[in-house]
Amino acid sequence: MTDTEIIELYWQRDEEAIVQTDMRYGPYCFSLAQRILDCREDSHECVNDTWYRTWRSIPPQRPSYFRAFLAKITRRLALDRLRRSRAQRRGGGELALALEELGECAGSAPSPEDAAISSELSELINCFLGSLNERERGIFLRRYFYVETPEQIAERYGLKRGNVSTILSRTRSKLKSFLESEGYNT
Amino acid sequence: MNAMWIFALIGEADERYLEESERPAKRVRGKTARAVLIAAIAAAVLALAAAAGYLGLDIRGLIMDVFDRNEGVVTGAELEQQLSEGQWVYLNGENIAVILPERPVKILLSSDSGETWRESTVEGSESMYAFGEERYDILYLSGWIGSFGEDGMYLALGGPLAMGSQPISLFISRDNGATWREIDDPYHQGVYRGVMTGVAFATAETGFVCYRYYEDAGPVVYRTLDGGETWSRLEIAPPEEYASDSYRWVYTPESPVFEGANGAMPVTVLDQVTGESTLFELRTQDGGLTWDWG
Repeated sequence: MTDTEIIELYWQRDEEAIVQTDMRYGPYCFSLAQRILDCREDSHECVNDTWYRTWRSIPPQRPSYFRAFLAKITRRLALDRLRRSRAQRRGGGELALALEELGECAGSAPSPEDAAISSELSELINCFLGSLNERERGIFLRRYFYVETPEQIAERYGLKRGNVSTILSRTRSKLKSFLESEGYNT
Repeated sequence: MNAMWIFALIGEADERYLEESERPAKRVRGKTARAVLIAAIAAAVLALAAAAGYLGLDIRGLIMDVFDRNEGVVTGAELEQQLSEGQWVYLNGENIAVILPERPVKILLSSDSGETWRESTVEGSESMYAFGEERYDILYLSGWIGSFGEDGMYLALGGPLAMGSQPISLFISRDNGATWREIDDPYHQGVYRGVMTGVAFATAETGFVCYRYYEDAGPVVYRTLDGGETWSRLEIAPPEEYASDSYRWVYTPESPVFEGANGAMPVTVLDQVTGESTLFELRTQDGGLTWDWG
């Protein structure tokens, strides 16, 4: 079943939509949640929450990129769950490393408790992403959206691990400068 | 916490950028090999079918009729896919077995390449234990049938999928399919409730149910050594070269085949990073007690 057909099932309020979504994207969303939460039980629940949230979102929404739409929901829910259940703990494994790397461009950016992600900030990050070339943007998102390891990214792009690290480092510097120019990290 | 704020901010990335990042070159070597294998199997099945002359029975049409009567729960394209995966029809020399997924399920059997047919009814298949109760309205959406030993046969039926789980029912025959007896399975016992991808019995006691990966990377295979009384997960370590990142590669095992004590189980390994699929094989030489990557 195609994404379009699955989305149509949501619009018809047919619960088969959830079954088909689970079949097609269950493992995909589970992997993403697992990389953030590092806990299978939580990740499993996070995926179920994703289906529930998707059911409530479509309609009225009709996502153009269904897989990415699900990934965003999963990631957001995983992050919420991480904040709720583990308070100050930053998750394990790859997420901890990714956060450590991002720490260099954070500066005095607001804490999540102080600043909700508003639509203005969404525009901000997309403005930054739009300033990157396709490869830089892809590598940056694979690392900091999908929390993939540099080795996985190197394999995906046919690069050496060192090249990936260099590109990531350069892109983080660009992000830091960008945020400063927008009034953050001053 | 500032890093966490940036991390959350990146979560607002536009979906078209996320989709774009999924695109980089995906190698297809494995997929091609898999497609060739499936095509070869399908071609062999069709060639055998044509040689046996039983296509005149229109087996596909008979199965499709049942689905059509049930509001098209399985489409024609899905049935084609299932047939190519070895579901619904079993061929072994001159022996042919066909599952008609009615309630109760009927089995068509031929031992002369389709010249003559007999029919049996699977007692107990008029209902299925699903979602916490015995249900009489369940439609069967997947089915495997096969044989073991001189006169043994097994039958596995799968119900509707829901949130990564699927109710299943298992049956054994000791008289070449004339009568059937339901046995316990991992779903009934609450041991495991994933989506079934294959089934086989080496003997009346030793059987295997294969599942799609879900809660972990797999391969998820449950085995009984006492005719279904108890089920436990088969311990299968990933191939050595794939051991480094347990979430990168995910495994889908399919029905094993046995010839005496020797057996082989196809396992598709999907690389979640590149999208490449590669077909591996687990092998046993002791009737399914131990398995190694071939």
